[in-house]
Amino acid sequence: MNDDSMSSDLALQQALRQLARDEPPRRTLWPRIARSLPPRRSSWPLAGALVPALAASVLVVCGLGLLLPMALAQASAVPGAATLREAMLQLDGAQARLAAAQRLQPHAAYLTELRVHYSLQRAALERLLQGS
Amino acid sequence: MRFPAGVASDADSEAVAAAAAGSRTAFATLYRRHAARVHGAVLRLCGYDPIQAEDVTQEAFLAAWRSLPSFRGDSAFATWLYRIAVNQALATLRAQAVAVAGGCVDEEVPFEPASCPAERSELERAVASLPPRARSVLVLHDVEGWTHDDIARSLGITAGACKAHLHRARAMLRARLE
Repeated sequence: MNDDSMSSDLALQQALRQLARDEPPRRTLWPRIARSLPPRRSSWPLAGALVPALAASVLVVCGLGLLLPMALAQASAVPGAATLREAMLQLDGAQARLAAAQRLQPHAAYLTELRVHYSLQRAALERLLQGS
Repeated sequence: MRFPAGVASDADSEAVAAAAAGSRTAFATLYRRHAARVHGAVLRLCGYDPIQAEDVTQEAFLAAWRSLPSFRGDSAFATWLYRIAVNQALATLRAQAVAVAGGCVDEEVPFEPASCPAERSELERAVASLPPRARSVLVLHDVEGWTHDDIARSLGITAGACKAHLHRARAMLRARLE
């Protein structure tokens, strides 16, 4: 490459364009990369949506486990219609979340059991409401 | 922009889907197909510094692995990967400039030239001796075939500033070759 050919932009650009070629890395690079690859969180495509839904359902269940006995006790002590309706609304919300989780994991037996359990509790509340 | 066509996207689609689902073997296949092209572009941007180029190439492939599940195939995999690698290289050069010159990447600020191996050609060594910003613009425009608009977007500068950088980079390169 002589100086004269470099004197024009065109010649310089043509020479530079010749530099655009593949340059294989050393063979040791792939083992380095392979060792550093983090594991996928899960290879199951639904997992990304399922995990938050299940976490939400567990939180709902834990919350209801604490709140419902209190609501029922309160309802039996003071059988106000407003209190009973509020407890039923909470149950309906929980049921909706459980249904969403169950759509993602239709074979989860514990979700079915929970839905049945809360259906029975809702029926009990309805009976209380009718009697109040 | 003259992005690499690489291997036809149809040939990659199966390996891309498998790698996105977690197959390291499929990702190794993609690496074998595209590493030379990606590493070539990174090596030029890094001033033919082999150590830095391998580090950047490694980071680019790791970033691609992490992002593969969200790769929607709007562009060819080769193009997507190439953009990740170039952005990684530019980020590395920016970080280097911050470390060396307090964030200033202007040509007047002293900088540590890339450690270009002696066996490289005269032109390659001259490119390697350019300051990071000048080298980035020159390599992306004159070697990789990017437009000023694309370079400006990647570097966060205006197209006018990009043209000015290129003009100055060519002048510096000519001076080094004389």
